[in-house]
Amino acid sequence: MTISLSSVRVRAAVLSAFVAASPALAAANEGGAVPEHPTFTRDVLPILQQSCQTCHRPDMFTPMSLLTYEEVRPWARSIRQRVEERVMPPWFADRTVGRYRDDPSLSEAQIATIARWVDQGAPRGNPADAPPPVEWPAVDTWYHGEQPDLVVTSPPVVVPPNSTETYPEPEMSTGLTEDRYIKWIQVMPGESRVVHHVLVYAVRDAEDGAADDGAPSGVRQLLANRARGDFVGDYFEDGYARLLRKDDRIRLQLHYLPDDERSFTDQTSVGIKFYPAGYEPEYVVRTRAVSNAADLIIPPGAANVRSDAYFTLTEPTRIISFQPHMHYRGRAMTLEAIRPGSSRPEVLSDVDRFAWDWQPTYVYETPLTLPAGTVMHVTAYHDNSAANRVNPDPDAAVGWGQRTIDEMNIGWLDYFHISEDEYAELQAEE
Amino acid sequence: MRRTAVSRKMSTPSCGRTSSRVRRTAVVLALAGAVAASAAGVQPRHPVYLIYDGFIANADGSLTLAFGYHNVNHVDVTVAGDDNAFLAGAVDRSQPTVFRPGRHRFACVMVVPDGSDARPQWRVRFAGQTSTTTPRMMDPLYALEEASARRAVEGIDIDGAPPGTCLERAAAGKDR
Repeated sequence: MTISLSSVRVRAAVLSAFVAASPALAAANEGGAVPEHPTFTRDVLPILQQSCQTCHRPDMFTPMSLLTYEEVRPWARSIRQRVEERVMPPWFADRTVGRYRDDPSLSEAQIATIARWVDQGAPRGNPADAPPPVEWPAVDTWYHGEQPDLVVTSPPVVVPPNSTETYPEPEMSTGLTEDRYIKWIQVMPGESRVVHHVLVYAVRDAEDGAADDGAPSGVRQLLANRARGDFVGDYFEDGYARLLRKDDRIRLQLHYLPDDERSFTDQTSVGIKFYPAGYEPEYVVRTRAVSNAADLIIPPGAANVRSDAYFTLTEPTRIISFQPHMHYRGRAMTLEAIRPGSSRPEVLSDVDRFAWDWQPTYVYETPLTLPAGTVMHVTAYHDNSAANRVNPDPDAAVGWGQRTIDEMNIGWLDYFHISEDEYAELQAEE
Repeated sequence: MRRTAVSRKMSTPSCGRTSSRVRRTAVVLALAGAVAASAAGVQPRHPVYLIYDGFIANADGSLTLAFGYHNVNHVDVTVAGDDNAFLAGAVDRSQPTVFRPGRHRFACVMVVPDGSDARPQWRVRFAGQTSTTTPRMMDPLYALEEASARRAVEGIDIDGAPPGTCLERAAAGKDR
């Protein structure tokens, strides 16, 4: 191994840099003791900077900005409720299973600090205690601190209010004259409010170029998957990258979910920054959808319906990330590994509170190393009961489908293969 | 047939090792025969779930309604008569009576004329359970997106369709 294996792909790398830059934020991140008399400036603002302001700032898709005391104070009780319920920040993996990069979830002490602050009247405190404001990047900008080498933009699509969900799939040429490896890729919807998700594929006419496992027909590779709540993109550290071939075209699968009141015209862009020409990474990152469309049936009113999907690793593999994808009835999803010769599944991730409108990618702090022959097991749970407050129709039996009123049970895995020797070396280290 | 073949093998004198292998083979084949017999007589015990696939708003004001199903059993299931009926209006709308295993979209596609307020729900009773399609048929979320709409009417003569009846699909498009 010639490069660090501690971190491969980074989402929100820039955001991490912001957080790490502030001692106050670092302290908030530790989340140890609960102050007896918390104040906004000393105790609450660092938490908001660390875990909330990423989205809650002007011109974002969020309903309120949480930069200042004046902005926060009217929402104090609501903030308390949302963090106590762990609805916010939107991070739904069991905190006792696995370790992830850029985990914005609050510690119990941080939640208790906010609760106590609200109980005591949400005082401002001494302005001198406040950490310096975070200089967030402008909205509608490329998050990784540099301009992309390639930007492809979809044709404008009008999304009228209360109209049918649509799934346009525009294709665009890249203009590449040679194969290039991707350093980062970011999807930037023009109107986030109506864009449910965007899948970015590399497609080509020729029969050569093996398709990714599980990819749709005609698709060579899934490049990126932007679901709601994921607006930063993928960053591939030196040594690990996705390949975009010169003959590939970019195909977007855009899923538009119309607004109830307003019409929107969206043009979604994809920005790609490449590593320098001639660069060859040590590992090529691939994506696999582990799902079971054929057997998915969710009876009407059923509160906890399980479905299972499996995928066997044919080579020693390092798993970079896991992203559950379901729709309105999604309730939870678990990723397990069953190593060869073992009868005991090993839980890798447990997203025990899935929220359809927030579908973060859970990037492992250190890529998970698994031997060839390991069976990856994705277990999905759906709630089709009336108690599911976002369920549009508890009276309907539901199966697999593209629309959000249909369902899915996809566990997306990003991974790369390693050699048997590398696997043995990593095992020895561990 | 299997038993006969095994008997013939077993009657052939041989060394003990071979005889033992043959006995094991006989047991395996006998078990296989039993399993096969059991499979032949298997009784489907699981439900058939009806699924409302969605609607297409046609240019002439009519609606195309699409229904499907998911048969959880591993064998075909036949449901006819009162146990397989549409609610409101005609009970028999030429809907499927044989339900193949697994999910089948667009098993019944019908056109409802402009101005009709008929929103027929399909009901099937099987294995002690009743499955009825949703009454929320005109929820905009149920509008079929373009690709599914194309598949729903593939092989069907929509223009000449008798109203409110599951339409016969041309052979090439039968297997959804």
